[in-house]
Amino acid sequence: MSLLEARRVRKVFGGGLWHRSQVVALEDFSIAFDEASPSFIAVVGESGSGKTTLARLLLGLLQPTSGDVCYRGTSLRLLHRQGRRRFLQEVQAVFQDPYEVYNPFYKVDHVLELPIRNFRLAGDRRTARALMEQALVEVGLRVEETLGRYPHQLSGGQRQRLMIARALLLRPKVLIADEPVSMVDASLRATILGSLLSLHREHGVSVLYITHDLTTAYQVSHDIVVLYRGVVVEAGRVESVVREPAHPYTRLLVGSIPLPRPDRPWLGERALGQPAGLRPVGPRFCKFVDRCPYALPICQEESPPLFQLSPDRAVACFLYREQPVVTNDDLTVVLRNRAGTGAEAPN
Amino acid sequence: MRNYRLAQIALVAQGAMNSLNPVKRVRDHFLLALRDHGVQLGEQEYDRIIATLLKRVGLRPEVAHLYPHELSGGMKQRVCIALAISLEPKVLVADEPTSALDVVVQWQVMETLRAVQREIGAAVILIGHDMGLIAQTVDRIAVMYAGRLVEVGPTREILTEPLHPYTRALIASLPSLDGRGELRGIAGLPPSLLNPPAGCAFHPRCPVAIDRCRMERPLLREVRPRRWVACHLVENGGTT
Repeated sequence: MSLLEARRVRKVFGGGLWHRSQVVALEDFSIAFDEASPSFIAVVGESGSGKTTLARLLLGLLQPTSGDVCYRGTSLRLLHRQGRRRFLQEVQAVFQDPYEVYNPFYKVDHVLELPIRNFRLAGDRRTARALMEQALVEVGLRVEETLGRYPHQLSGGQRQRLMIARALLLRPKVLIADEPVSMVDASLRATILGSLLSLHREHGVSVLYITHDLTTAYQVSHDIVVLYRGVVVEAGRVESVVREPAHPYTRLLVGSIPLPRPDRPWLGERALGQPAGLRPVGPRFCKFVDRCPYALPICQEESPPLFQLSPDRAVACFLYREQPVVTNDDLTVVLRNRAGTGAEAPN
Repeated sequence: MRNYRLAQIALVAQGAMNSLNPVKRVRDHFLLALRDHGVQLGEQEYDRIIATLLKRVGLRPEVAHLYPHELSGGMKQRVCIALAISLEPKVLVADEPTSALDVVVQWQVMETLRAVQREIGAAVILIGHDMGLIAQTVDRIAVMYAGRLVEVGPTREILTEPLHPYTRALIASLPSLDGRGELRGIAGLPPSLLNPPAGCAFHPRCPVAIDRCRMERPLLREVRPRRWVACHLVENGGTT
């Protein structure tokens, strides 16, 4: 049984009686986190690709339109008091904006004291203090420079690390990090990602790292899921996906990264070539068809399933239609098929 | 000052989404800017000018009749560029114009900015923290630390041979697609600007600081043609 699992979740916004249009934010998405084998999965995609919707669904902040998010086998909707408490402790989040999550009237100690009190982590003040200090040290913050201050006295990087320290305090099993470094500069980005990585390595925490930055995803995660307009277009081991992207959209993403090297020109869309100029026909189609230079007639009238390129790699593109089809349920199996630990491949 | 702004020097701000008035159509933004600078024309003339400006940044003329919320982030940023170049300024200051956008849109916006720069012949000052983006776009880089310039030089030279220790640390901290799992942040924290360190502002975090760095602030000097560095350890001629 997985610790946290999304089973074929779909989320549609709008579309009520008075709304003109529906927006499908996430389509048929499955993912699972195991307690026994912690994973570090990156989810990348452009703005509006459904990344944040995914984070909010996994945290139970949004209800899926269909499908289910389960914690230790029970749907989040059906969790009872005790289970919900455990869920709130074991599944933690770090959000994008470290400026918005603090109450400016409280000292920053408050964000650490509150979880200690709510989850009765410490019997007395001294143990509480020791726990706080330990958590701060683990994310590389100096105790005397942090405790007793107000949020505005800390830098963005310090605040973000404090949020990671808060999550750490609860000894979570899963950490959902939604764009944790998009607001900080390059040198702090490295430090914060380093904290996430040591959390995973030393404490066995599974991390879902949501980002639009492919370079940092490549740096820290094992596996990667590429989303495009709410659909998984490619998933697999990060080395193979980034070094040899298979889906045209992933190729576009990789080609659009500006590298700090003058000898490698920034090609962007030019790397991919002119779109084939095909338009969707009917309600089902590949979401990338209008921008894709390799589009085939079938892409206009059918949405591609995930095709399995190798045991640990799946691509939703008709260019690979000779390969066996993976159902979306098995996306987690694809991600689990890491070299060495490889479970039996589906089909 | 009012006449000088926009006509001579224009700004492309960081959050394009927040710099457009949500209750005004794109066209109204152009009308305000043009009329305010004394461009008095007939309605049709205005429409023609606005269409040309939008075309320059790769947008269709119909965009003029849309409200900001109907545009994507990249489109809004391009509208802001079109607004900034509406009076053909001599200098365009772009303050992190793409930091809120994803890489594909980033490329589109920077490509627009480069094309516009070539067409109207304006100088562009690109302010940003993304070294990759800057390396791919500009001719000369100036590196700032704690409010002062620490190194200035041609892009290619700075990237291949950074002279200032801060520039070196900054370049080393960039994530690359070559090696995995080596993230090197710069140790320590950015200095407080209310109470900056004595001497060289970077000395508390500098791996090669000497006593002189703690006492005396290094001046920015030209150590070799077109290369300016503010560091005691860089000799004339540019060796460390």
